[in-house]
Amino acid sequence: MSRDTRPTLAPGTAALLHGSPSAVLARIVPNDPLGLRARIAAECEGRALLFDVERALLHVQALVALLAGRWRGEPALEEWVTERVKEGLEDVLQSEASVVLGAGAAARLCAPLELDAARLGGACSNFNRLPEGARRAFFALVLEGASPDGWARRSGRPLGELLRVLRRALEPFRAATSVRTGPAAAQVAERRA
Amino acid sequence: VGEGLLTWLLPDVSPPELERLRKVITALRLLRDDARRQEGRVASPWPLAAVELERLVRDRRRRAIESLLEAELVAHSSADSFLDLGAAQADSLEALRELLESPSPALPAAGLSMRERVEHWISAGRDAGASERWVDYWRARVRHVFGPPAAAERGWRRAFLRARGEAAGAALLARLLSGWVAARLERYQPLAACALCSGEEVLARRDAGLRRLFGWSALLSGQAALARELLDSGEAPSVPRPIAEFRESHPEWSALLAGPVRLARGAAQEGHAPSLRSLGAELLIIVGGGPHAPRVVRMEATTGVRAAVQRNVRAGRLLPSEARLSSRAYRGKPGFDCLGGERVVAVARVALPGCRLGEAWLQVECAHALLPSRAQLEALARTLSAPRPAGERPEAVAARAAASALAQGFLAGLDVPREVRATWLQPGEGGLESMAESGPAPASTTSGPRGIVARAANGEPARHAGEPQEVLWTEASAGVALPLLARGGRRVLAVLVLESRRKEVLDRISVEAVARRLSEHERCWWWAAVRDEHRRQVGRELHIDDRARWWTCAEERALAAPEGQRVFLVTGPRGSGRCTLARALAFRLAGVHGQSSRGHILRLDGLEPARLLRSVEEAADSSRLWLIATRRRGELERALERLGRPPGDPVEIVVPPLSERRAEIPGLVRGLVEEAQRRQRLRTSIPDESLALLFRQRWPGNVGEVRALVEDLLVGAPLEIGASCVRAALEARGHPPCESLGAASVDEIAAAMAVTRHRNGNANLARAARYLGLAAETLSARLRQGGRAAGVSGAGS
Repeated sequence: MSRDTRPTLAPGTAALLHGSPSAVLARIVPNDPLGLRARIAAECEGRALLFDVERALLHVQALVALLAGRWRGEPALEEWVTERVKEGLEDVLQSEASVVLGAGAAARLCAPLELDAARLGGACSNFNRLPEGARRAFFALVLEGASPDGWARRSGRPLGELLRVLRRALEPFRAATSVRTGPAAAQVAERRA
Repeated sequence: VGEGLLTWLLPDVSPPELERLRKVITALRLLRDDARRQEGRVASPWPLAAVELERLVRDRRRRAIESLLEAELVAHSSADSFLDLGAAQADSLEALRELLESPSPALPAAGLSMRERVEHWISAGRDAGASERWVDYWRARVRHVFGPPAAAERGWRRAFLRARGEAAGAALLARLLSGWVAARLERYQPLAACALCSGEEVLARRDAGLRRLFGWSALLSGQAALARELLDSGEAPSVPRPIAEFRESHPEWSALLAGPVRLARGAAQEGHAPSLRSLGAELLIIVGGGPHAPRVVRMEATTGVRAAVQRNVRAGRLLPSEARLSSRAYRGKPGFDCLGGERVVAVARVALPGCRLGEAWLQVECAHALLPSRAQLEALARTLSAPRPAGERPEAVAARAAASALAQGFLAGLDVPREVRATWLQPGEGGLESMAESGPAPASTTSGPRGIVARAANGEPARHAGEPQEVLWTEASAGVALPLLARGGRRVLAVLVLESRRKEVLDRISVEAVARRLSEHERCWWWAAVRDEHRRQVGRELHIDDRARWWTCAEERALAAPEGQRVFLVTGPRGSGRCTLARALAFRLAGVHGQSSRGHILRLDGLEPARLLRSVEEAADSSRLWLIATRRRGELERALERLGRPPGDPVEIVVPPLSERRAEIPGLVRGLVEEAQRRQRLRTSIPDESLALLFRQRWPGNVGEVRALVEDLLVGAPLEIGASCVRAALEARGHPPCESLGAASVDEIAAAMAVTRHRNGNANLARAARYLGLAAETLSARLRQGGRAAGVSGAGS
């Protein structure tokens, strides 16, 4: 189900990485010449991860700018950039909920649906720590709407096990939607009013 | 998402929750579509990216500093430490590179000590934007590695409570709690460590490191089923030496205790003399060997174990040195010389150069399975054999002349050989002053017993032959100084010096007997000193308030007896404090009548007739006899007849059960909690609601039952003993908590009124009603009906 849309680097891209971190950042942020966003999206799709790509892009861009001065031509630029993307995503996966679901995405997605952004970010963060099999099953069946029988057949696993895995994958979101009182609930109620 | 899939997955979900879940899934689909969408995007604004770059630089710098801090601490930490060690050495090199490549590396100056370097890195972390919690965490780690375990525990506890108060994240709380649990394990308190984790089970199950510590604590405190549930077969990053040695002895646990043994970088802790408390043990014994027959050189034991050890020693179960080959043994291993009963044992060889025995064995026996590792035990043994550092000079308290009478009484009652001279020294205006002496008349005495206080502070009898400035009696060639310590153990109230003409050391068994008598004497000394001081300042006897009315009656009754009265009978239920009362009264009477002997205390409870008669015969020569009994007259009469006198009129002093003197309960509980606080360095609060609940119980086991319950509560709730904990503990003991004294007697009402008074002496009806479990109106009505007539006043004092 994954769609690999990783871009290839144009010749001469290496020249972008010369200079101080700020200078490199100034070159790689406008128009995304390294194709970092597409790489992040592909990685996210490939590993069945849920996070705010725009927020992750900011972090990966900063990381590439910071470490650009350490690249000495080895490994190849393509490989080096891919490694930085993976490193940046690992950082995001370990970080707090506000990074997993940035402010922009939170406002765009949660406000219209009257959801608590912090709790949804925390739930995504917990979801990303689940085993990859559970995450993939969730992506295919819940987000893509695939048929459970077909998925069980393709993956060669019994339907009962699939059911157990899916329940486990749904658990973080159930916890995030459970009714509670407190400041976050008050904020949601305020927004609703 | 299809309705069918969600209801298939979650058949028990309610419609509102299903609706919320569907909204969440919609949001997640939008998030995924957002990631896929390539066109129509707006590029990241430049200022946001610049801010992110700054944040990243700070974060990486902080992480590098953390790695370097870890490396410093790992280099110094002991292989016996339970503290989770973090970054490997390779990571620290990478971290150093990271710092060197940054614009301001801020490396420590050359020549700094390890402690100073650590402080430097913590300051650098703070400069890199680390929070106060981060600083707290690292300070607690530093204290753990460099300080004693008790200080480490205090540090972790403080940091944990502060972080919890500030609603810190679960990850940080788990790390702080891990440190706290590790410190408890290093204090040899696996049960307390396990209780701490049980109280924070959600955190403990979330964090892998904390879960592992929880499992180890459960295993070492004997809860195998819980340990199996908590420990998984995954390999731990490293395993401390005590766990590794446990694994060697118990191969069946090796799969659940997998992991490389922690490398011995730092030294095992030395410098603290081992004690029963510091090792969480029940028996600490040093058995001398060498060319001589084995003999006990030093012994510390809990009450129950002491009797078993004495039996085993009398039965000749002290094995010679050659037979002590194993360094540790666990329950169920036959043939090992476990002296205290069925216990876990660790043994190490000690060299005792000053003892003429040459070599000895330090043997530790515990009820739990957490033993010091071999290296640790050997380090402790080395500490024992090394010369003691001069202790802190304790504070001296001024002597009171009245106390010298007590000292004279004490010395007269000492049973020491003729050639031994005992001198009682008390701090006076000019330093220590000789207050009383016993034994042969000295040919000459040198004054100025400097050094005795310092030596007494060590608490260990020491030879002082060859130290002429400390010899009181110039003919003496060996001696010991035994301190009489104030309650906190830091103030020396007096020093008893035993000296002998003989050239060898004093007979250790006699010295230990004297030391025991001295420690029994301490409480009486405090009480006498308090009374003397009160009499001197106020000019009259100390008034004992209502709460101790029965005690006043008992004392008056004993003092009113004629001087020749030989038999006193102290009756009351078991555990009500009869022996304590008898000891105090015996001491008081001896002081009043100027007698040397305080008499013999004979406990009649549960003695078989033959044994009872033998005990009575042994005590027949005693000038005064204190019989402790319940109210079984037959036993008493037989005993008195056997004493060769008619069962005439022994002075009978009745100690009521605790339920009839409820006013003592709050004070007793507070005293027990304070005692535990001093012992465990905990700050435990006990709310008034809990005291009220304890006040209402029946306490069939009297003081002993209260003590056992308080000890259980302190293990389960070390920070605050809430009413719910008290209720649970009472139910666990099979006593449903009494919530109301509905049919409270006048005495009970009076007790409640007495303990709940305002400071100015006025009654606090509402609080008294809470203590009795009654409504305030009900209590008022009871007071109107009959309480006032019985002397219970509702207002005023």
